[in-house]
Amino acid sequence: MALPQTYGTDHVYGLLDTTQDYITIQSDGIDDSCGVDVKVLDSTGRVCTVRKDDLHNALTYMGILKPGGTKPKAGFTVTFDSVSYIIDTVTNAGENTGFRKFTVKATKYQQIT
Amino acid sequence: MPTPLAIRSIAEQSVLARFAQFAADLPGVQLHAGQTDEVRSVPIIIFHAESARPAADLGGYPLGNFELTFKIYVYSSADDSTLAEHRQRVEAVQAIMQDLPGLKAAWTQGQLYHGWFSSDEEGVADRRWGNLISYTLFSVYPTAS
Repeated sequence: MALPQTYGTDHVYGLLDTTQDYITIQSDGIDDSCGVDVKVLDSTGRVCTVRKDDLHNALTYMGILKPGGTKPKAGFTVTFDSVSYIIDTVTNAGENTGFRKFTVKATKYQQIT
Repeated sequence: MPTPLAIRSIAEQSVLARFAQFAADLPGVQLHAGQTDEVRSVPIIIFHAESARPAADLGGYPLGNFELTFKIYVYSSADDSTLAEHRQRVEAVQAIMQDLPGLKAAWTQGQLYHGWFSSDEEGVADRRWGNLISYTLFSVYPTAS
């Protein structure tokens, strides 16, 4: 009887975008949600119709700050993985035993390109 | 009879293939994959995938995804080489391994997801300079086609 062959299943590894010139990105994440989320209940209180619309993509990424580059500011836009987001918050945090960490939270709204 | 794959052999042969592309930059240096009981001469660089573990993120279903501890041994004779010459070989090893896209392209079976430098230890014994350079590699077997 022949030995079974060994195969693998490949997966996606790592970060979506590492091209920001002002940080070395350590983590990223995108949460999708709907700004319009309406439920209609029937006479017994059970959900019988749902309307979900107005997609929001909430982006968070964190990196270690570099000396150069132009840091983004809240209220401005940032392009991440070829998508333009509007920046909600920027956090620039440091400690006396480590690198400075720079976190950006931004949102892509469905109707805003 | 099909030949089952071994992730540690794939890793060693892949790194060896990458270093073979730089043989001209390592004149007179033997490149050797894996452990052997044969008599070796120095200078030599030995590629050894010391251990392989299932990729922890995949839990109980690793599906042929591995995290490897990969060690590169660089030995030079203290009679034939100066410490500076030995360290040049060590730096060459680090430079070649730092070019991750090049290493990924040289991967012989499956794919290399990522890899990074873990440590570099230096010592001298029996008139030999020796460095042990460790890397962490993430790799997967080839998919069934």
